Amino acid sequence: MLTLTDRAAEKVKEIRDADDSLNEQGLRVRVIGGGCAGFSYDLFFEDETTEMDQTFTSHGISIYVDMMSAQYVEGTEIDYVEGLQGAGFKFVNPQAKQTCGCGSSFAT
Amino acid sequence: MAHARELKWLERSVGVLSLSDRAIISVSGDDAREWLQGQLTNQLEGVEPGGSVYAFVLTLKGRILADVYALVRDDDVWLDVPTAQVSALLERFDRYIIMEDVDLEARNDLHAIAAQGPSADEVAEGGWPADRLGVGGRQWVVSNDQLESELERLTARGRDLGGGWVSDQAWNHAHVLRGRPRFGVDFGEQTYPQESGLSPVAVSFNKGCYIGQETVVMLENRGKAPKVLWRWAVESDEPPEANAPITLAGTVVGEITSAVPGPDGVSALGFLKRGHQAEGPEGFTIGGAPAQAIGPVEEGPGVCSPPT
Repeated sequence: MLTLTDRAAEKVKEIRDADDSLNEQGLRVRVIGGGCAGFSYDLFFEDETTEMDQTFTSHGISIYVDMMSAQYVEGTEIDYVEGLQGAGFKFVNPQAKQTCGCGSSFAT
Repeated sequence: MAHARELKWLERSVGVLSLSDRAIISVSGDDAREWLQGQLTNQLEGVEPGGSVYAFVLTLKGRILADVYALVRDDDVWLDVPTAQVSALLERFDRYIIMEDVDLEARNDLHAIAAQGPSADEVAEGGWPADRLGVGGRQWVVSNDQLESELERLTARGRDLGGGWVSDQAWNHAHVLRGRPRFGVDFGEQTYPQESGLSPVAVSFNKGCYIGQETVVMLENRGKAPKVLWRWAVESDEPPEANAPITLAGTVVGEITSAVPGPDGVSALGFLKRGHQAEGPEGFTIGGAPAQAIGPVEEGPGVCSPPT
């Protein structure tokens, strides 16, 4: 199960509404090998799913995760944070035993 | 001095040899280059086919799992790695392939041949640049059944250039004399990149994230390596054993990793513990003989700056 916080869902809708080509698209969450701590998150709009995907819905937004990535992000909450040093989506992953300083990479 | 002729070739013309302690892993697939960029300490982005990159593969904690020459080809990348680390590397790499289109294969059917020395580029067309001693170098990868004939052909060309075939013993010897540490001999799985002295040629500090990067960057910017490889001259006829202690005023301040007879006594590589770098070159003892600290490997002739 993956969820979006209120702020993250609001931001996703804001970005999607500003671009007609993204109309009604969902979010693809992917885990890729690399980053300081071993695994990195990848997040982008997606309108195609495959039989390898699990689909979740949070705040009316579809979230697609392939089966391999799903095992690394089960239970993750995606937040959106803003600060003086930048803004972005933040993954709060209960399976991450270690994260790198910027939070974009994790180890299990 | 032993191997004097071969050492002279490596310094002044070219020495050719089969790299018997190295193996090839192929990395192929649509995502191979991008994925590999997140695994290696050096910059792979922008390297064209026929180019190469020297780098480390690190553990999550930032220690060196292997040193690697990434040999870039049109459709894949061949990694020239220590033979003893092939299994560990395959296991480690496989762990970090999730959904990427990346295929790994230990290419036991292939073998690397190196030419090292100022004339290395003149030995033959093709291959990849791979400077292993700071003297200029090139290497080729051939199938096992072609190894003998290719080695013979490249050696003959080396002879025409004033060089010749170099034995494994002379090759080991040259590394110590040049101050170029070797994985599995002078450094290994317990070593941080900065300790090896090879970070100027193996680590990019502006390429972005790769596994183990946080430790490397913290060591570079906020801390100091616990120990660093130095070059040593020992006033002795017999090289000390590996692990022989380096002492200063009766205190152990480091240990030897490799040593060979040199033109004036013994040349050696060995770790010097943090805090003793500024105590001057004199006053050290190795294996009971007076020794001089020549300088850190990082500043020595065996570690040349990467091409820009």
